[in-house]
Amino acid sequence: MEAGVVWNAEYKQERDKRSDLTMAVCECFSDNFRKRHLLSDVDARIKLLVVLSLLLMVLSYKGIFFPLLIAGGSFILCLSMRIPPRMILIRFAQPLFIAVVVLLLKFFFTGEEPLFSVGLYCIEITGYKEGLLEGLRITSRIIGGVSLVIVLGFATPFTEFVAALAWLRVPRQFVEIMLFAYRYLFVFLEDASTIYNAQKNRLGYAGIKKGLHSFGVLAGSLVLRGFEQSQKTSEAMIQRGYSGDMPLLRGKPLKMRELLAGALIVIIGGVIWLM
Amino acid sequence: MADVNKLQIDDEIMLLVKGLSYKYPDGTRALSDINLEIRRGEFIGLLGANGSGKTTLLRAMDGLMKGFEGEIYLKGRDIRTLKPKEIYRHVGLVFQNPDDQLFAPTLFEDVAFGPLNMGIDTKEVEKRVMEALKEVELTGLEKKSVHNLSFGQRKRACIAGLLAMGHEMLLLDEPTAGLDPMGEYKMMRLLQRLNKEGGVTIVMATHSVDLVPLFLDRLYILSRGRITRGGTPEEVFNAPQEMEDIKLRLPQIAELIYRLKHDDDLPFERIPLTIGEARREIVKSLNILTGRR
Repeated sequence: MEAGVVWNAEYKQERDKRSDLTMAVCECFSDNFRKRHLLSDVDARIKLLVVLSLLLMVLSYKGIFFPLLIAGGSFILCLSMRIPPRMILIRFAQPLFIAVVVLLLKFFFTGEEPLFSVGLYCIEITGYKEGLLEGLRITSRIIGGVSLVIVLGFATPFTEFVAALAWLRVPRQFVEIMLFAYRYLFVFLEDASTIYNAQKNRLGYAGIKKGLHSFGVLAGSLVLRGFEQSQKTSEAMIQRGYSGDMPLLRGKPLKMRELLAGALIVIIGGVIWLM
Repeated sequence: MADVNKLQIDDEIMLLVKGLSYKYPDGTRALSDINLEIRRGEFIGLLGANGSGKTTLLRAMDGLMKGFEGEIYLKGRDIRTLKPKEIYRHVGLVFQNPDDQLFAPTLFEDVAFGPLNMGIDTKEVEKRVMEALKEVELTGLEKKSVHNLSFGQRKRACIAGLLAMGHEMLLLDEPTAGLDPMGEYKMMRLLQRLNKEGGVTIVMATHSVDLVPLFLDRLYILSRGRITRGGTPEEVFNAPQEMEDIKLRLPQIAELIYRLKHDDDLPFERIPLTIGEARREIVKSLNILTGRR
């Protein structure tokens, strides 16, 4: 309890020192949302297995009903976990943009049976029925799939998720790279933010040409810092006994109750998928 | 400073450095003929200005550097003949920047990294991690992401990572750098406790002269890659001119007494390092001046 209070106080002090950009990304990834909720105590491996099963069903479903049902369910689940809607939208924004682009491309460029046609100066824009259906199918799959991943992301701390991947025999190299990427993303973000502010203070972004030049310098500096950091980190790892394999803590045995609940969700999903 | 000819290897010597010299690949001389003897349970400081060779010396002592001249013995064995695993069972280096050292996503996993690599079973690892976190006062934060810890907490987390491996000797590169005055004091108290109660031999590099040396048993001054002076903090700080020559200064309280002694001819017998000692010295000299005993 006391440690928590101290941590909060020190974290707040630290937060004041960090830039808005860094803090925004930190908030996005941090454990702030993962307080006690419906799924907080469920084993990450069960969550991962259920999500993978449902993802398979979403991607193989022929229509749009099942993916949208999953998306709706996921959204409600996120709200029940008290995830701020703004955060859900932030995570949805990018895939949603891609989904809309795919929908428009399919609608206007594929198919034979025209639904409507509009003349704009010398260009005639035609929307096709087959294209719309195909676009909606792909869009619903994207939305359904991404919503599952979002629920998993909000309900599972990153490290537990990675440990679950390792348990699923995902190649160790991939798991290790994910762990390092997650750890050093914040370090490099902090570095990038510092360099950016230093450049901005000396009018590095006054004008497009200067801005591009400064941005190039920033990117180059980060690459060099990346090499430097890798050297130091490998030394730190070697002196703590690293010999090529990142040791991961072994997970506890799966609970039968959680396993059965997970299986039940997959079976219900499977029945709806078959209907 | 230890005399190279008198250096003998015995059980009480944790680390022995004989005639250590090192040049960077560009030819710059980083260390010149360093001789050091670090005994079990000692708390030693390497004091020097920026670029004086403190970090290079610590890295050499930790076995991270190759291509040096001279000899380094860890518990009587030539460090060059030891495998990394043999070195790092006994000694560990805490880097200046904690982000160089903390690479696991959560505090618990980071502290557990070393013991797991040592092949210790999971239950024992958990026990060690919890004990190490308790030592550095980070209990309750084990599930926190490393990037969410404050700078001071990250510094302490680095120490916990090495403590969990059961090291007998810690090398620390400027552990108080970047900390506020209270953080600096707390860090030094922590190291003192590890040294006095835990029996951990500690060698730390620093350029802080006001607080850090007060905790140390012995102090070595490094200047341009050479050890120019060594001894207890009192002995080392008794040469103000020498300190100035190597771009360091006396602790502020010592500086005040030194000036009163030399500029105002006040009769001080020695240069104190703490406020308590200074108070006694001032009272004593006032008594002499007023003719009282």
